[in-house]
Amino acid sequence: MQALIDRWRAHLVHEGSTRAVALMRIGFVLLVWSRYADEILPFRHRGWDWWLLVPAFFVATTAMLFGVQTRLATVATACVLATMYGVFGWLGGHEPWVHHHTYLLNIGVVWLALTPCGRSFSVDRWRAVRHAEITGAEPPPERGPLWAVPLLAAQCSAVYLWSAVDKTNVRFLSGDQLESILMHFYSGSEPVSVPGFATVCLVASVFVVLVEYVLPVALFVRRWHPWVVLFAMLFHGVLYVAIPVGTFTLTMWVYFLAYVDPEAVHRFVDQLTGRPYATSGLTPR
Amino acid sequence: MLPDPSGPTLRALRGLVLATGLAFILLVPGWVQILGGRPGPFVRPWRMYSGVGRDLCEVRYEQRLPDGRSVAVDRLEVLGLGPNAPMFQRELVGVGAVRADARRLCQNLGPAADLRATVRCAGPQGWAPAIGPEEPLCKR
Repeated sequence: MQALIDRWRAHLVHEGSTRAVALMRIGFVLLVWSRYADEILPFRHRGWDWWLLVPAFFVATTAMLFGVQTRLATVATACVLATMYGVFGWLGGHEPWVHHHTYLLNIGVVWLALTPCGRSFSVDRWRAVRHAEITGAEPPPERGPLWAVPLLAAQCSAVYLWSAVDKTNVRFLSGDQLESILMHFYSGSEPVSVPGFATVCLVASVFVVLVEYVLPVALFVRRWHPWVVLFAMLFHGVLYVAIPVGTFTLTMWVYFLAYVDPEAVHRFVDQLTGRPYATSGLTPR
Repeated sequence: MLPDPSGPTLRALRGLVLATGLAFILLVPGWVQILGGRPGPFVRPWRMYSGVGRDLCEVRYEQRLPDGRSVAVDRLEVLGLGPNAPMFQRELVGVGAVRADARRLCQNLGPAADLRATVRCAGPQGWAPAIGPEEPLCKR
């Protein structure tokens, strides 16, 4: 028990490379634009509330994307998205904005606002390096407290876990639900003429539920990452192609960065740019 | 590891936010999905695509000929919709929609047509038989 408490305390003060959370910041904000920007353009709306939303949305998300006053911009973006979800979605009855995939995107930004996601790949970082060059000091390390990153990983795992719980019933495990979902998108009420369609749906349904029970735990095992993350990305890729999931697949891909060792992400970026492992300021743990 | 500049208050705050956040993320969906609570803005279940395809009916039409033979009926062709009809025309949701569709088919097939169908619809427990081939669908 004491070991667990010590580990918890160490986690709260642990610092690591900020490149992974910075990549998440860029990924999330691009997805936010992809999902919402076109829908909130001024010419589509008349109410004053929309006229307040538009500048708030674009100023906050643009600053978040480029990393200008990043912490503030990310908090502001989280507030804007929370307003869109709660006020426009739930209270205003704009149903598409309360969908699960929009909630997942919004809550991701909320959790990301608790991380130092502006210390890499940002204007803030560029300014800090410039300042160091002018003063002759060492550039600040791309490191920061990563205590909030498990919230992002847990959010992703919760999606799998509770989806699996939801699918653990006769309707889904018999393959019937998958059959009707695929018919809804592909054939309508026509009987499907593909031989073995029912069997394929049965096997696929059991497989999906197994995957959704295993992934929430397996994604936390870093030595399995080369296979598990690749598999999970492929899994969502197939879903993206097969049925209309909107931004959900890409959102999950971004979430996967929360499981990956931040130092490994740092080294990977160094490798890409042909630089040695030196820019984080510290040796790997 | 760099020395952490945060004081005990900030560390305690982080711990509180992290523990509360983890509990919120991992446990709250169970309020709806296991305990049957009402969903709300902060109480989100993770039920994806559970309503898609619900009540969709799979329909096999056949026409009984006077000589006792049965031939399959292509409803899209009979209704003049063609193979590339949009999904809202291809999909029949609920038995009522199937019966209404059958009435249109009967009109197009002519007064003497003997239209039958084997229909199953996606219910809460999976596919459930809805209409059997023993039932004539055209009123004489």
